[in-house]
Amino acid sequence: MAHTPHHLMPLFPPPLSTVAPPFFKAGIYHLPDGVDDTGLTYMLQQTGMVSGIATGVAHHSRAVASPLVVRRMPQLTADMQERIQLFDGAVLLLSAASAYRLSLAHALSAFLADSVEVPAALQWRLETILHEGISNAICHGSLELPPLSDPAATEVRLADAAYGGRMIALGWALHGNGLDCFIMDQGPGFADIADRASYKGLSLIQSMCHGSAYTYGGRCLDFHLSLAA
Amino acid sequence: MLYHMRTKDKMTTIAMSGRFTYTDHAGFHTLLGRIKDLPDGTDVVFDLSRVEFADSAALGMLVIANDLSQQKNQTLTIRHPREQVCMAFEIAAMSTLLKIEA
Repeated sequence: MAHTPHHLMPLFPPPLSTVAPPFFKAGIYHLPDGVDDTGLTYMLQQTGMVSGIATGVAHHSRAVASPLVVRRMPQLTADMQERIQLFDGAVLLLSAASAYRLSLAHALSAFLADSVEVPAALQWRLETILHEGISNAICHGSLELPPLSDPAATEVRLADAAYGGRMIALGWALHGNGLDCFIMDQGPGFADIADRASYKGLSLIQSMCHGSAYTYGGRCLDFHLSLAA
Repeated sequence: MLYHMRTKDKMTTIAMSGRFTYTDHAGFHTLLGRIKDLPDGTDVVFDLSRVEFADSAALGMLVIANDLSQQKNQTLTIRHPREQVCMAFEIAAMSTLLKIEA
């Protein structure tokens, strides 16, 4: 097995358990700035089980080791720390500027489709949901820009650590025959979803998944996708 | 997203390929400039047969292109969108805004 580059090592190893673990190693993975799509794919593969696909796996609660881990990352807000601690699947952390440059939704949906045999009919739904959620988290959440902002203004915000440096968290877990994911940013959020009702991306998300909700003042999108045919 | 623009008689076809997303805004802005330079009354066709994926920002860009075309007395048509793009168009009710041909 190839040696894992140090900067792509998980922040903490998944907990040991005497029961069969879930497919995705419960762990927090920080993708440093500057890593390209190849590095992203490599890190995603690290979150998967080496022994293969498990179906119908019982819910596995992650040991509460994460409070110590997330405290090692001062750039995470208290809300984001809480959300990560409450989640029992894999979590990927990266800056908004990194997320903008990477094909994150494409890579993650391809990895998930491969790993849990997402039916072809659902694969592009998953990619669309992830893409819209991630782009919202980057552009409207982290960079605080309206839709189709001036490209020059976007580049200025990306380069500004106060915006582009904000962290985005993505989590995914397989529960029975369904995928539960969350996408969270550190932006100002929105008080009422009606404020964003004109954003066609929200319509796409709600239409393509099997349940979604915004929490933490609009900063966190949770969605469920049933994998049953 | 890549595109190739070809004009013949009074019709300009813009064949797009790849993924069409919010990160293509700068490139699309340039394309809009070229559309703006077309003579008034030119018909514009966006051939999306080779576009694998389009997000809500792409839909918004197409609407902007359509608005620009109307200002120049041009007809803008979206042609041959693939399944994912068709689904996105349907959810966003784009047929009420754009002329779309299978």
